[in-house]
Amino acid sequence: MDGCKGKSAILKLGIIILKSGIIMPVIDIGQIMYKTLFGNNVAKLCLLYIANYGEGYINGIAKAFSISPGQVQRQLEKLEREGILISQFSGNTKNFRINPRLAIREELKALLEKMLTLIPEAETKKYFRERRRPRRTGKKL
Amino acid sequence: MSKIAKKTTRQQLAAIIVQKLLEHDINAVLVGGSVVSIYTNNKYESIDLDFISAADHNRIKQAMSELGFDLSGKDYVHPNTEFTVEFPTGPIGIGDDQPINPEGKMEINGVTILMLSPTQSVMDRLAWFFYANDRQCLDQAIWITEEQPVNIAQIKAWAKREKQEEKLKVYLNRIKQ
Repeated sequence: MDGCKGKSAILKLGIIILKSGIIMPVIDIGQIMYKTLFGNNVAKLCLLYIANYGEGYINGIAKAFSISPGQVQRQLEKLEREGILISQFSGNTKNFRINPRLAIREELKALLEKMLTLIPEAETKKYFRERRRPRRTGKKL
Repeated sequence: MSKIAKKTTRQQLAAIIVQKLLEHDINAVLVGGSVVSIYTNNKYESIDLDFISAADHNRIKQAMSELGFDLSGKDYVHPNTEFTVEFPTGPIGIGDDQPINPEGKMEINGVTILMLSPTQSVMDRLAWFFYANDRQCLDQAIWITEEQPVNIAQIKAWAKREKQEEKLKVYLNRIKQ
């Protein structure tokens, strides 16, 4: 089947066929390639989100990827315990960002940036291109 | 002067407005998303035309009403075009560089439109990426760089003044790819 032969064909079909014959849906190429590197897919998505937007909070990340806040909270807290992320309250919201004192901070950010460039355009638009610059109150969209 | 019609392009509309403003001795500079649309050949599409002008708003309103624009909130709207026009408060600034002189211009139907240059427009977009983490603006900065000649040394010097060299690396790496 053509869908197994090349990256673009896989992405177009939205499935991947493993050697065992099992058909798996593909959310993005990064899910297949890197989730084990970060322990699991939710941890990977949290880190990509934070690298992309500079910071992130539990409900914001959960809403962006349509996953449960509980799953996000577990991964963010695990990453914080390991010293990869730090958190700070802004009002009632706990914002997480990459620990500025992390020894591999530069390398981690570079890796995440590279991964962000490998995400297909449609997924990039959907998950990583929220407008962050201000829009005047009352301005028509 | 041409009439404003449905088929009037962004550039033509900008020229019509600039010409009318000049008839009233009003100078204005085109900034923001419309400049990005022009420099990226509409890869990024903005329906706002933002002009910075030091002129009194009542004088601007008079000139715009002669063209058939009505003020709706802060936007000027016209029945024959989907484009809206705004005159945000000046001066023109990019990050901490304020005020700046616009270094770009465009001739449309004999009218010179002052605007940000491609390099200034890249810096304007990067400022939103630096200070608001707006990745849409990072993309726009990259698209301008792909379509127009930009002065990378000038951008690097500006980012250094803004103490944003680390975030500039993201842009520099992306334009290398």
